[in-house]
This record gives sequence, structure tokens and C-alpha cells, in this order.
Amino acid sequence: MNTGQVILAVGAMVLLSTILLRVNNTFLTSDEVLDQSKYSFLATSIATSIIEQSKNLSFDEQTLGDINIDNPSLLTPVVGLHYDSGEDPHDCNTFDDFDDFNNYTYTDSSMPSAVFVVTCRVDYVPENDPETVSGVPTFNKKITVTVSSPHYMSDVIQLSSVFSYWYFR
Amino acid sequence: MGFTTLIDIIGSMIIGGMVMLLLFRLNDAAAENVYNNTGELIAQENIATLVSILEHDFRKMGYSRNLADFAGVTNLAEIVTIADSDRIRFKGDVDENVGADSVEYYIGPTSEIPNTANPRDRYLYRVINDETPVRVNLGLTHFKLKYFDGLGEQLLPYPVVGGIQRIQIDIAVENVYAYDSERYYKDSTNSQVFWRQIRLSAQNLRNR
Repeated sequence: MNTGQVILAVGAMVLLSTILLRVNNTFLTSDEVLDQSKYSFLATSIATSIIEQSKNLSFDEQTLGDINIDNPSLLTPVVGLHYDSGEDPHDCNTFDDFDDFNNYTYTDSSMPSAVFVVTCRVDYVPENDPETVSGVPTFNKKITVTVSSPHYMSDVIQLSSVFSYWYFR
Repeated sequence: MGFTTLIDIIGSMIIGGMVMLLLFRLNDAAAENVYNNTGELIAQENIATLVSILEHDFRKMGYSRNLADFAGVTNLAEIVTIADSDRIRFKGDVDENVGADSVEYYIGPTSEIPNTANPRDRYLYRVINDETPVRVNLGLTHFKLKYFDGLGEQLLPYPVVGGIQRIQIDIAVENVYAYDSERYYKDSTNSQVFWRQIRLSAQNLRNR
């Protein structure tokens, strides 16, 4: 085997190795994309579940017990949007109204795959512009749930929902 | 032809054979990857379809366009009439006609689908009123319901009667036909797409 043949053989091996690495990379990338979409799917289910749970509660601390309020200034002030006394800020089962979820954070490790970190925020929003945060109480509150998984998801899932006060007379 | 040339030819044949084996293995791995990834993509699409159907129906729990259907109903046991771990029946107007319907979901045994490669997949049945049960095979392998009261405590034992404020629905869908299925299905988490949803029972019945 002369030098030329050796160079050709080495070149062929390098080419083959490059192709193998490229193919392997493609496999891993497609697996990763599928896993990411699985985790995103689960994160979405967690976020919608939190929104559902929050909507099971009263609109406001002042409307507990089916009290009818027709003036938004009677509602909890903006600075009071958080858990109330006697409630555990780490256990949403102790919450009794929608805005108790403001700044609620917990880690969900009950899922069969990744560990998720959930963060909630509740704001008053104007009736005609739910993307804007209102500085005064209104009859509409928006919850924004952010779900992330630092070790598994490269992005975060963020879902929002507006909850409005209503009363059957 | 000298001895050295013979060694060169034999050596190159061995190396060439190894490279050929490598390429065959690569081809097999590529086929497996495409096959299983496509199956998993289908499983993800299937669970999205399943979830949209379940969400549509569960949202209507305790809802009717005919106000008289739920007038005076305060006991949620009148809304969720069967509450088992793998079966639920509730009232709600799911087809937007006048009047509440009876909606029932349950899963069949694995023995009903013996012809798929996946040994765990089951039919999901949906029954509206007294109609014939409609079943679908979307690769569902897990359908578990948990019921909670207003304080977040799980209600037991099954079947649960009354007091249901929240329902947790766990569903998992798997690839129905995987490549090299015998090896693939040994580990149930290989292809599983999982969804956990908490729904409210009859949220339309309360003032806010």
C-alpha cells in the first residue's frame, strides 16, 4: 500500500465518519424535538388545570358567600391581590378566591416525566383591553400561568385567562 | 500475484465488509427512527384529538340551554351520576340542542384489541343518552379519573357518590405499531404521551 492509497483510505474513513456523525445528530435532534413537544404538552395541561382550579373559586374575597357587588371600588385593592391571612401560600387548596393565585409558585414533580415549575400572576384588566394591566379594581381579573422545566424544556409555556365577575339575580 | 497483494485484497474485503455492515446497521437505525418517530407523532396527534373531545364534553358538565334542566340543583351528585376510576357519566348539553344529555365515558379491556402490536391499547367508549356506544382506538393505554371535594381532598372509595368539585383526568396514549415492537413495548414509557387535566364539575351552577 503506497502513500497515495493510504491517503485515499484515510479520506474515505473521514468521509464515512462525518456521515455517521451527521446521521446520529439527526436522530438525536428528532428525538429531542419529540420529547420537547411531549413536555410542552404536559406543561400546557398543568397550566390549564391551574386556570380551571382558580376559576372554581370566588371572583374576589369581597364576593365570598354569594354577596352581590355592583361597584368595582368595593373589590380587593390592587396591592391586596395575593393570598389572605390563614391561607398557605404554597397550598392552593387553602385559597378561597381567584386572586389568591397571584405570585403562587410551586414545583410539580408528580408527572411521569419532567419536573415542572409553575408560577402564577393575577391582575385586574380593563374590560375593553385585557392585554393591559389596570391600576384600579375592575370586574375582570386575568391569571397568567407560566410553566417551565429548566432541565427538560428549552422554552416556557405561558397561558392566560380572564375571569369576570357575574351574578345571577 | 504475490503474498502481500493477497493480504491486501483479503484485508480490504474484511474492511469493506465491515463498512457494508455499518451501512446496513445505519439503514436499519434510520428506518427504526423514522418509523417510531412517525408513530410517536401520530400518538401526539391522537392525544390532542382525544383531549379536545374530552374538554369539549367536560366543559358542558352541568350546562344546558334549557334553564329548567338544572333549576334548583344544588347537589352535584345530580350532575355526575357515575364516578368510578375508569368510568364517568354526567349531565350536560354537549350537542347544543335544547335539553341536557347524559354523557358517559369508559374504557374497554385490552383483550378487545388483540391485533395491534401494542399489548396495552384499549378502546375509549363514549355514550350519549341511550345511543349505541361509540368506540375509538387512538392508542389509549391509560384512562384514570380522580375526584376531589372543595378542599382538594380526594374522594374515596370508588365509585364516588356526591360532593365532587374537581375531576382529575389522567390519560396516556402510546404508539400503536412500533418498530421491533417486542423490544419497544417492554418499557411503557418509551412511546407514552401523557396528559393530566383538572376539570371542574358544574361550574355554571355557582355564582361568582
